Amino acid sequence: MRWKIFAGLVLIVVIACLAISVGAFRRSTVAPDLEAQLTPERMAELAPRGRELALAGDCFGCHSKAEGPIGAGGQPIGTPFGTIYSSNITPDMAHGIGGMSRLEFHRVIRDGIGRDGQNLYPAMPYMFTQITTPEDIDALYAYLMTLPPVNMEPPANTGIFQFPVRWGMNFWALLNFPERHAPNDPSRGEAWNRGAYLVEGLGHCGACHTPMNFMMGYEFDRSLQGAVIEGLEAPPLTSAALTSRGFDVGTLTDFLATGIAPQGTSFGGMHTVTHFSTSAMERKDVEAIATYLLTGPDGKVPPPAPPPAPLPVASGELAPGRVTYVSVCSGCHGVDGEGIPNVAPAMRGNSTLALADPLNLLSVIVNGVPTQSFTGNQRMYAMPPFAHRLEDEDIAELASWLRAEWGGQATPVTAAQVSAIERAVD
Amino acid sequence: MIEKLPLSLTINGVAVGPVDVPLGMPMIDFLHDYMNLTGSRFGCGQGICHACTVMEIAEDGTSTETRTCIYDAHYFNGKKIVTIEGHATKKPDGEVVLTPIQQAFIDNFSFQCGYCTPGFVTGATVFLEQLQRTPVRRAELEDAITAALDVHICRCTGYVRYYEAIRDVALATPGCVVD
Repeated sequence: MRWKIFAGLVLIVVIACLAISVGAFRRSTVAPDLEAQLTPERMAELAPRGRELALAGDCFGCHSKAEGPIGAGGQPIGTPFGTIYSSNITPDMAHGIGGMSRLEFHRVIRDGIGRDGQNLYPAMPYMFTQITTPEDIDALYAYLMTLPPVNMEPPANTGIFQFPVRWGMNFWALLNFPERHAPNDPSRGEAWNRGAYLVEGLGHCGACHTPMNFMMGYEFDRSLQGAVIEGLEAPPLTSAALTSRGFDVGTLTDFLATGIAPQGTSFGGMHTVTHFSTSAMERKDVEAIATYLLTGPDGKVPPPAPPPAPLPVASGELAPGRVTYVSVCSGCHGVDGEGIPNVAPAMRGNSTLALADPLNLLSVIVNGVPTQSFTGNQRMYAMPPFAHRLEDEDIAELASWLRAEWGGQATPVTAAQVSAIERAVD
Repeated sequence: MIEKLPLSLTINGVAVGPVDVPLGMPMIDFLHDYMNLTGSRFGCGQGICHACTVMEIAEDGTSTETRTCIYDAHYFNGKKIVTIEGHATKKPDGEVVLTPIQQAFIDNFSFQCGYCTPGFVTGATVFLEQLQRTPVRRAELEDAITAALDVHICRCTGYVRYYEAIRDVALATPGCVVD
């Protein structure tokens, strides 16, 4: 009798696993009435709107290699389990989405399901894009079909992704693909609602700024509370966090639209975002994003905090860091931390110094930053890596002094924290 | 009051200091005003043109190129450097012996106004030393020269002749190029 119960349980588990693996629990939020193709006139009408949405989604940030061609994919996306190469989203019939139907495209954006019903890996941020309205997905589709088709096949995925494991995503999705909806609060006004739609959806800000669980699924209950990705901290984007860094709607909009603000310049993955996405968007959409992010739970945008006052450490144990700053850094960043336009960002008021975790500051000192260009022919000259020019102890003292002087952070940085930084150079 | 700190370093093989130098004085000012070594050129003052570079010699004898307009004199405390004045040597009879790079720049008429030349000599010398440690294939030499000297700016646009001079020396120096 007992073995019958046991066998029955095993059978149920096996059937459940089979059912999950074939996607029996995958729902679709795509309306079935999308079989009809859009007319060429409707496609032409929608394409400009789709362009703005594609920019907001930074589609080309992943679906193009830095050197182009645009939309042809092939950009490597590293994961602990192997490398995924982004797909070709130009309307090429052989390697792109030229043969993809409107319905299939909707399923990609909303369901994370590719052509022939195959699961997409969550490198495609469908957990976010699922909230996009059907009209906007039509517009994206219409725009992408206007791109020059590129007959280029992305390289094959590596690691575990070279094997037929897409069915396994059904298990992942069961646990990590909650149904989400665009925040909608008529009392908050048009800008907030537009910003919410872009941030939580196509903009997929949370793909970097929301912490992940061990399955690399997003912890949406800690949405936009900051995370570490590719060796850098994607700082929290909550209203409290942003206003404590001195952002208001104007400066945050400027930062997104140009990559440059009194709080510093974009670097790392965020430079890709400001460079390809937010700097090319319409200003009112960028302002909407800033409005949504800065609005607190009470529906108001708090006033920005003033830059932190220097802590009284200049003559204390942190003084060696100041000597290092003046002798190594001040030539570009200024004796008073004022920076040089188009050469080096200011340190005074730079909110990277004010983050509780010194990770980003240390990573920049250790690994440097390549020459970057910004909106309006602005640029920042390359910062050299100091991994081999300064001892870890010197960097720790330097970082401690910088944080105390301009970041309001009293906790000293240790040499162990410096040596723990991933080195981009040997 | 100007804040001064003692500075000691080795310049062109000669020990200097300790000498009290203001904190915040760029190295190029120290070289010009304290040492009367005026060959390194002050160009942009922002670390971009690389006219001001000197060779920084590590303990293992390898050299790197370091800008003197953006680094303070005190950054070089305890270090060994070679300025443009330290490249050529003199025979006992006083005859000046140029380095292969210096000679090649003259042979190729590489410079016009000459303002950027100290930086190019420094950059090319460091590059050739790197090549001797890690040679490149012949087919990759041109790209390697571009990558190594790319940051140096010549407002007279004499790049091609600098480039040809460096390539000539690399090809004529054993161990720089394989194949």
